[in-house]
Amino acid sequence: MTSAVDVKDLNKSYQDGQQRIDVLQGLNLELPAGQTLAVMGPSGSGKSTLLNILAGLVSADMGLVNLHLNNRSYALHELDEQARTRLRRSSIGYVYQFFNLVPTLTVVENVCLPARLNRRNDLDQRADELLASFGLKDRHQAFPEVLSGGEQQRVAVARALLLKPPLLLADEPTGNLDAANADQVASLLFDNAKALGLTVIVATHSEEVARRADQRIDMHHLNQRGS
Amino acid sequence: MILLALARFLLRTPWSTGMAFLGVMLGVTSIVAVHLISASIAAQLDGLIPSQLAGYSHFLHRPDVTTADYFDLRRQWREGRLPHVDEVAPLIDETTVIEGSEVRVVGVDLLSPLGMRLLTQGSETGGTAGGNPSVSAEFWRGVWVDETMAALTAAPINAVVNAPPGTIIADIGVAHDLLGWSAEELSYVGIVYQSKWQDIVDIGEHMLPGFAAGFPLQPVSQIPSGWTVLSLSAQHPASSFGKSVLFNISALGLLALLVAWFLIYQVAVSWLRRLWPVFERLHVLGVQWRKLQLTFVATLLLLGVLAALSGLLVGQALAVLLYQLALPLQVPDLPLDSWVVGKALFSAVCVCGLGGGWAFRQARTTTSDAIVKFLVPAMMLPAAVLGVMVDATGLGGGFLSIAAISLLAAWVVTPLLNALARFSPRLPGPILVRLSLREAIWYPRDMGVALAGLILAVATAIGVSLMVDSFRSDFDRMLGQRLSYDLVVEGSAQDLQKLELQLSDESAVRQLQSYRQAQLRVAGVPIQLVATQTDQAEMARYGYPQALAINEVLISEQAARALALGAGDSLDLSGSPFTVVKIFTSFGDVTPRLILNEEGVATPLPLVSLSINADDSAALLEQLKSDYVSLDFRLQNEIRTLALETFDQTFAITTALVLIALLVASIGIYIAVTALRLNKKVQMNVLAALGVNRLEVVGMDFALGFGIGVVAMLVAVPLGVMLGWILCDVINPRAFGWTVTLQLTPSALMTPVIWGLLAASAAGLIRLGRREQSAGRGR
Repeated sequence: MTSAVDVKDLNKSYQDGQQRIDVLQGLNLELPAGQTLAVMGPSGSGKSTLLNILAGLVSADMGLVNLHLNNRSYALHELDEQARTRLRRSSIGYVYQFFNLVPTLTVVENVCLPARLNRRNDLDQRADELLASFGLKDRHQAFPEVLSGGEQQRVAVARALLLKPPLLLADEPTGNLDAANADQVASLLFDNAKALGLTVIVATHSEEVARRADQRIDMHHLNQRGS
Repeated sequence: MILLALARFLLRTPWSTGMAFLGVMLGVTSIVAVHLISASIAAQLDGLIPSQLAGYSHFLHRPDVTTADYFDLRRQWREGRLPHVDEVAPLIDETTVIEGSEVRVVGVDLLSPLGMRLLTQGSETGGTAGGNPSVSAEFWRGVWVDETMAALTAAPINAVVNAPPGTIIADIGVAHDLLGWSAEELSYVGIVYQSKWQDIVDIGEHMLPGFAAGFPLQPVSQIPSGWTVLSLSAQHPASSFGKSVLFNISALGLLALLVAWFLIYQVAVSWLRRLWPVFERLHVLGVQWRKLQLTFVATLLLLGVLAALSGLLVGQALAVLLYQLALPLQVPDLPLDSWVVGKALFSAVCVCGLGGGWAFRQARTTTSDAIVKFLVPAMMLPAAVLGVMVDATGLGGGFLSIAAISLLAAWVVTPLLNALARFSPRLPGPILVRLSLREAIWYPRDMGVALAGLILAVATAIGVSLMVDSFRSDFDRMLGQRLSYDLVVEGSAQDLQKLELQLSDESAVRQLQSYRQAQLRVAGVPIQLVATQTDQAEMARYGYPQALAINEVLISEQAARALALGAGDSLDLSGSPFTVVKIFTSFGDVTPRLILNEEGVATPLPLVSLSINADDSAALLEQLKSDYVSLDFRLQNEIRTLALETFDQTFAITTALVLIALLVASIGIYIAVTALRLNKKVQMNVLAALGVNRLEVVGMDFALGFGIGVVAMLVAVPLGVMLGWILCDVINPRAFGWTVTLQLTPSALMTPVIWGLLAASAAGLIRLGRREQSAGRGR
């Protein structure tokens, strides 16, 4: 099976005043297409940094990041910012822990945002269907400020799924929710991704979420082992 | 320690600290420049009134005033029947011709308190000097003159004094002799009326030169019937005209300061947003909110004081520049006195203290202020209507209206943003543009004050531009009507008469018009009387379509207001009745003017000018110039050019002040947008994750700024038109006695709008430095 994500010898460090913090040290990772992966580890272990590098939001200091999405290969470490942005727009979905939604756009506008950015107007019906299946049928025209935390996160997942991106990244998607809402959001995320055959990488502290993934890695371990 | 930490914060945010400093400095610059120019011009205007008359607050007049009338009035005063009157004195103030020149003769009672000032003025001409009234008889027969009169009068000169050119001041008896009057005749009776507001007005005049011109005088009560009361300003319209100009400029100068206040509020909001988590932690540690507020405000005050000191220096330099632009022939002497230094510091402290304090208070409250919500419209609406409708509120009333309407416009910003937010889901266009445009209206608490600042600055620019354009257009039309002669000659009556005689035989001269002029008092009001040949062609220059009969009179708009006359009314001049047939516009006139058919004037008046139409005016000018070197010849084109140049120079100060206010408002918008941007940093991360590229982010920034500009213009344009109308139809008639027809010229409307949109768009596009963005945020 082709690997959707292939990371080799990845290094990333940050400068904090006089101190250099090595977040990722020689990380290797391979994830087949259509598989789901839970990235675990304590705070500061580099989970979010890894996701940001895979999304092309941050560049690695060293190492190779190859993505194989929609039958095309991308050497992320060789792409400039413009190309990485284009790739992210068309092929990668991203869900944050909180503040996922644009406050000045309605629920349906937030969900349709990736479609509009890709100049696609044919996905409005799919957006409606997603919202309906996510229990947000009556919230189309509401603004995020009136939604509960769980509802906001469901809208964010719906938005990430709209384009059926071959790679979906989620950074602690349930970290800000109570158990019931966390369970609901995790179900929607994993069930829909499985149904669509998406490759999913979820950074999480939650055992419940991690249990739903096909694989899991511990960043703390990986960094210490260097592989 | 907290103060030190806050000072460090300011240093770590150099961009916004610099912007706040610049905003306050520009506000102070504006008021300092206006103050220095106004104080200098006010001193010159004071010189237009002989100091012996300036001490009287009012003048009582009745037809054919005599010494018997004066003594009757004085008796009533001694009996206490004229309350609040401190002094009563007989006065003469008339013009006559001495050695061919028009001379103003002021007769005073040398033994009255104000008259005795003359006795203490030193002699520069060898006459008897010194403050001793018991001097020789020669002294009492002597006169006091301004320096232009020193060589003209045959009477013994006691001293050269500061007085308007062409003035002779003398004891009443000497004035009678100079005028050829009988010993009983007087011009009027001067009184000193104690107004209970006088002290406040005096302080106001020091703080804001021209201040007194903006407020109606307290009416003089319990004056015996038959007397007309005239104020000092009605008696000396040139001075009051100038002071009204100063009041207008001073009011405009305050605009930049007001906008600077909005700016400081906006900066404080932006800083507090970043400092608030720190303040909350300090509060948890036991620091009182009050202390945190005082420390925060103290930091701003420090900034304000530094900005005020810089504003003083820049303001002085700007004042010199503007003074030279407006009055190119005069050498500016604009020292920084204690009043202007105090005013600059006080203004900066008020702006920073109130702006910072209010922002802190707002940061601690989650609900909108009920006082602001209900009190503003409840108070401002009646004030606006009252100031416009009631003429008795004077120039101050007009500006009160402008202030009230401006505050209402600022107040309307939040409800407007809320209404637009409700409408915004229906906004069409690309999603990122929609998103940014909505952001422009989404945060009334963050954007409202900066928007109000931009609205006021743009609206004022529109209002002033409309007024100036309308005025210029009316003025230009008036010049076109009036300047129907090729050549105008002015000078001494004798030389003009000689020239008139010569030209009457000159075949090249197609038309020769002579103008005779005199000052007279009608119902106590000083009036300029012009007598000329009033054929149809001449009358067309004043918009009257036919020749003027000998019992008819044209009156200027100022005269119509001063004498409360309209077309068709009857006017009595020296016992002869005249019918007012037309009220003509006369911009630039200081004194009310009447135009009569010269055949209807019993006593010939002094010739003051000739207007000529000739086959070849330039050649005629060359020919006459050498023969009549003392006369002043001007070609029509020269007069038009000079008049329009003077007009434009007059408004140089106005333009500079409006530009400063616009600049400060733009900085305010920039600060507000910056605060907004810091707020939505997380949202930008989401958009970045969705693949929004840099170019699109720049487009969003532009759309945000442009959107803010468009919202500001929604209020600024109608407000500006309203201000333009008030300036043309309320302020101008009250200040100068003329009405300007408001014309909605596209350039006056569009130029400030374009500047406002550009400023707001630029504010959206300029970003903070990376270091500044992270200042105050914890890890």
